[in-house]
Amino acid sequence: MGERLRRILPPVLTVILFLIVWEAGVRLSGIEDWLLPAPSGIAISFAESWELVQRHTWPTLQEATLGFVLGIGVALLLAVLIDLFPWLRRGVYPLLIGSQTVPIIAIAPLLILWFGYGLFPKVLIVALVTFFPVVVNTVDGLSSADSDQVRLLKSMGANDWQIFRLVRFPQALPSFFSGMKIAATYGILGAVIAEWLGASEGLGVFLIRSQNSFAADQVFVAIVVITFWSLVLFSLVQLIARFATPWVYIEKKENRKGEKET
Amino acid sequence: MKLKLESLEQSYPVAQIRRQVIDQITLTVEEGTFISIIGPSGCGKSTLFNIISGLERPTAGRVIKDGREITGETGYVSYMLQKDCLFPWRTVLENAVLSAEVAGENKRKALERAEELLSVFGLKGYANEYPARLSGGMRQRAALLRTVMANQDLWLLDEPMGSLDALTRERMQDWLLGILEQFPKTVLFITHSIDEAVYLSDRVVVFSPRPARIKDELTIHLPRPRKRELMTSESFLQAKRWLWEKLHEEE
Repeated sequence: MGERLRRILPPVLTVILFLIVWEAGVRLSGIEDWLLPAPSGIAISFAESWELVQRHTWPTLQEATLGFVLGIGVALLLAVLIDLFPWLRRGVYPLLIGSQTVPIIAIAPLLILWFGYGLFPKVLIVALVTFFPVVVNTVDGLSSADSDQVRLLKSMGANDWQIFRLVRFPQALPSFFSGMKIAATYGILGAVIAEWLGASEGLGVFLIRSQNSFAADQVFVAIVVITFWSLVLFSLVQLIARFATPWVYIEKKENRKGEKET
Repeated sequence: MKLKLESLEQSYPVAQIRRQVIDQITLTVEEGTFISIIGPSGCGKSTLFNIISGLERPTAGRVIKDGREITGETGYVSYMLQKDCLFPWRTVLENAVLSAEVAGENKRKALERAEELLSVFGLKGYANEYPARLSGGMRQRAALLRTVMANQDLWLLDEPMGSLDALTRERMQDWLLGILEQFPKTVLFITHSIDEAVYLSDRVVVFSPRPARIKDELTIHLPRPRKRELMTSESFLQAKRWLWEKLHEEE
């Protein structure tokens, strides 16, 4: 427990110190509220707009989670297919990497044009953003199976499907989850960007409206909420990873122990 | 006769030529014998195991087990590599039943059988631990448990103790002999240690540098069960000296 505290304490202290300097800076310099509010001002604004923020948070969360699940599902499926069929790896995988140079913000208007202002195009945008890190990480994980483990299985008479199920897939799981963690940090962001381009509710709409009415304090409120939910999504993925791949955490722990002993 | 290797040859294309790795290896292995293979590193011993286990097909020659040709066919031997190859995502028990799973046997029955054997392998209380928690010796024993669980009567052990420290290694040797008394098997054993070869084996086969040929072989007449005291006996030292000379003589 003491070790955990030692790890958490320094960043927490840094944040507190930062907030104090910010608060003092705003008060002493007398900077205008609509330009840079003090943390205390943001907290007050947060309390005042609580209900409004809530109303705008749920649609964003809905788009983000649906898009996240869709993106990851498709990514996992495609990664497995790319791994099973070498011609897919040669024909599709390079294009997939190349497609990442196309900025999502440039594709989003197209999706809005095609699918309108409803939920679907936003889910699609989130899926597009979260899909990529998961595919790349999972494909990497699947193709880096230990050749001796594969040989051992083959010598037992295992067929290709058994080799996939017993070695390649489980050993790709940690990479899959690291991709998913990156995707989790993109999920809410993707939904907010989608809302910028056309929506009647959501944190993206809240942001634009705050900007238009020069309410910097509300922009900060939105930032806090977006960060909070991104962290929640990230922690959720972390939690699932812990349950699905317990050996990864045990290995890390044993390695730390080993380092201490030497 | 358990296993017969008939004029095995293996060569791989390298640039414009074919590099010969194994040259005319013929060997007969009687049921229940322990045969060590000793030779310079990189001489093709592991290639031979790949061929016997069916992972590779020889360019010429045949592998015959129990009177049936199995050249290029997998699933007839239990192969243990120098690396323990325990799957880090499986517990000790789950690793042990791997071959049963591959063979499509009842997993629950296999788990029960593995659990009964845990204490024999000094792994009691570690059934549900992941390999990361085990020491080097324990990992090797878990790998051997997996080998036993494969239910094959022919074992190929490729330097299974190569990565262990000297003390653990000696303990593992005695322990392996004990296991083999309990579960009689035919064993082919690759090692770099002359001591280990003499101590464990009924016969020691000396390989030449690449391409691997059988240079000579020695029958070990030490009594079984083997005891550590034997290692200083005259016949042990004689065998050791003979093998050392064979290994170091010029071609």
